[in-house]
Parts: sequence; structure tokens; C-alpha cells
Amino acid sequence: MSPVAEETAKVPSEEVAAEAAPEVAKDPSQVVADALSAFPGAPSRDQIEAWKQQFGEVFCSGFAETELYMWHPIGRAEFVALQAQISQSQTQVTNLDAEALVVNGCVLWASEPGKSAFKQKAGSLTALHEQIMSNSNFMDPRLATALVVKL
Amino acid sequence: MEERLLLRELYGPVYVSVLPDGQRVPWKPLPVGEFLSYQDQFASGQYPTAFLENEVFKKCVLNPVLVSQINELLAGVVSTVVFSIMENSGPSDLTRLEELLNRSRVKANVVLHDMIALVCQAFPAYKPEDLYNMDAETFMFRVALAERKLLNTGILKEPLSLSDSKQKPTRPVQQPSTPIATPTPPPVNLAKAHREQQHKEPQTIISAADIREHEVVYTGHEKEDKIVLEHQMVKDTAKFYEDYMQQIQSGTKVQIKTPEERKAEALVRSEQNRQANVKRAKQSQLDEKQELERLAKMRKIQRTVKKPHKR
Repeated sequence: MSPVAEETAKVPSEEVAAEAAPEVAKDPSQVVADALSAFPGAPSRDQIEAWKQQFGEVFCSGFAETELYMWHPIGRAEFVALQAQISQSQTQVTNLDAEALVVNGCVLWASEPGKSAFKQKAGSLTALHEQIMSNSNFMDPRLATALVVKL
Repeated sequence: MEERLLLRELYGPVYVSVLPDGQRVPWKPLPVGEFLSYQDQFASGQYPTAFLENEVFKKCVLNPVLVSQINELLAGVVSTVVFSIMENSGPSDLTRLEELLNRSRVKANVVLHDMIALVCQAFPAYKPEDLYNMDAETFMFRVALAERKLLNTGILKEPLSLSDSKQKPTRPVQQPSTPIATPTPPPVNLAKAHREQQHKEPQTIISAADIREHEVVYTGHEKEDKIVLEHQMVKDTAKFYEDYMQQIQSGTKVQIKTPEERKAEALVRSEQNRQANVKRAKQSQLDEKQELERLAKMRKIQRTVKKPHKR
């Protein structure tokens, strides 16, 4: 896992959070909402809970103290639809375009410095795309081969 | 370990992809034909990769719940599992092909696989899969039939011998405490065999002499002496149908005699021949006696002539 990916923090479900860290067991979504409350337009606890209900998992990551993003892993249906969109496109779609499509589809909220980083820092979009893909169970072929067991 | 046993019990000897989140996805490889087809389609880019991956996933994944909820899965689950399916369904390049072939060569060294190849060679209608599905007893019977057929056709020079096979038995063979008596063949009763031979239907044995009248059996000098031989045969047998010849030569109608009449005549001829032989033998003895007397008389004369005079 890349250093960027290590910075990704999954917003844990309430049961798991209660077992792992009793001191933050009050409400993980509330903790994240409190941390992001300083940013204008940040999601509330209820919003985070609604996203978790909708997408199953929600992650919060950042490349700096103010460059923060909330996003969900890409689902199969979404990925297939995205590929269909790319294949039917009249213009040529580059890898960078595809990465942008994935990131735009999966990012639920971004801080204003985070949005600016997409334009000002060339690697931001690609790094976030890598985080999304690796948390959607896309992996290196060698690792995929190692995960296979013959019964 | 227990989970693997449970999966094996549920799905049999299949593959399982164990994902980082602990999810188990059981699947079977694609048949070779379908593998080649999908390999071409992935390479051609005619269809979006995700569509083809979904197809392969639905075909190969054995857990119906996962298949029915494919759209709810994380996108990478399907891609990762399908990558593994393609990897294990066939070679992706020549290096991988060689690797698989070498692995299969080691497998094919097992004697039972050789036997399957043998049966397929003898009975081409069988596919190897048909034989793999047979029970051991039926399979061994087919091997025996195949061996006999290949021996009869000359493809096999000698019966199969497994004693010098490289494969060793997987389990030690337990020797019986007492030797098993092998049945010995009963002694041959020659007298009985001779009787049985005599009771057989009579056979007509025709020797070369019997078919001498046929020109095709003539060999060597017989071809050159053909006319003389035929003349001799006619002369020798003429007495048997002399009366017929006389009837033909006299211009009268030939009267065919019955077998009984011919047999009576043959007996008469036989008696005549016997008397002629006896007479000839007596004459021969008489001539011999006269010759001996003549010789004795001549010897007596010679002694008289050579006797010296006494003084």
C-alpha cells in the first residue's frame, strides 16, 4: 500500500469502533463531523450516516491539513457504467480523463483547498484515484495471484 | 483451515480467491475454448473490459449469492477474481505455456494417464474425459481390451508390463501370510486326445500325387515329361474302362455298368492278377532252380578237368 493510501482513514461502523477504541466509541461519524466542522460546507453527522447507508463504506483522506476529501469506493455497477461511457465516447478518452471520471464520481465532499489542489497540484487527482481504486479491491496482478487458493 | 474444508465440502476441488477484506470467492476455470475466445475479446477491445469481466464472473463464480449481487460488489472484486480466473484457465504467453506444459508432463508420467492414452488409441471413440469418469473395474477392463486389440494389430509388440515402471505404489502392498496356490494346468491325456481326434469328422487329404492330372501342379521336369506321363496314366488306367472303349470303337451304345457290376468285375480282375502273379512267381522259382542245376553241372565238369594225374 502506498504512503498516500496509508493516510486514508475509513470511517468505521459503530460496532467495530466500539470494540477497537472505547474512548471514541461515542459515534465515529460524529467524531469525523466534528473534525470537519471548521470547513465551510462540511458534511454533518447525519449526512455521513446517510452516505454510509447508501455506499456501504465512506473514507476520509487528505494530502495536507486543509486538503481533505470524503469519498466512497467505486461499485461494480458504477464502474461498468463508467466504462460504457468511455467506450461510447466520440472523443478519445485518456487515462487522465478516466481517472478524473472516477474521482468525480466517488468524491462526496472536498474542502476548498482540496478542490484547488486538483488544479494546482498535478498528482492530487491521480493519488486520490489510486486510493479509491485500491480501496475498491483493485490490486496488482501479482498480489491477485497470491490470493488464490486451490482447494 | 476449517474454512477451507468447509469450502471444499461445499464446492469441491475448485479455486478460491481470498480478498483482503476476508471475503472468499470460489470459482472454477474457464474451458479452453472459452478461455481463448475471451482472451481474444479482451485483447480486441471490442467490448468494455468490465462487461466481459462480468460475463466471466457470472460463468465461473460458484457462489450464487455473489453472482446475483455482482452490481453491489466493489468494482475491484470482480476484476481481481476474473484476472485470477483467466490466469488459471490458460497460458497468457509462451513462457506461461511452457511452464504449464512442463507441469503437465510431470503429471502425465503417472501410469494411469498412460493407460488412458492407450485406451484412447485403441478405441478412438472414447474421449479421455469418458475414461476419467469410469470406475476402476470398468476402466481396467477397457485397458485389457485395448491391450489385446493393439497386440492383435501389431501396434503393441508385447503385453503391458508395469514391473519396471517408475511409479511406485502409494501404499505398501501387504503380502499374504500363506502363498496363494496358482492353478496348474491338468496333465494332458494323450490317449483321450487321440480318441477325440479319431472321433472327428473324416477329412479328405489330397496329396500332390492325387492331383498330378492337373497341369498346374506340375513342377520342373514334370512339365517337360507331361506327354509321357499322361500317356503312361492312360495306359495304366485303360484296363479299368477297356470295355467302354471297345463299345465306343464298335459303334454300339455305351452301357454304363452299376457300381456292383464294376466291383464284381474288379474282383475278377483282381483274382486274375493274383493267379498271374502266382504263376509268374512259380515260373520264376522254376527258372531259378534250373539255373542253379546248370551252374552245379558246370562246376562238376570243371573239377574233373583240373584234377591232377597220379604217378
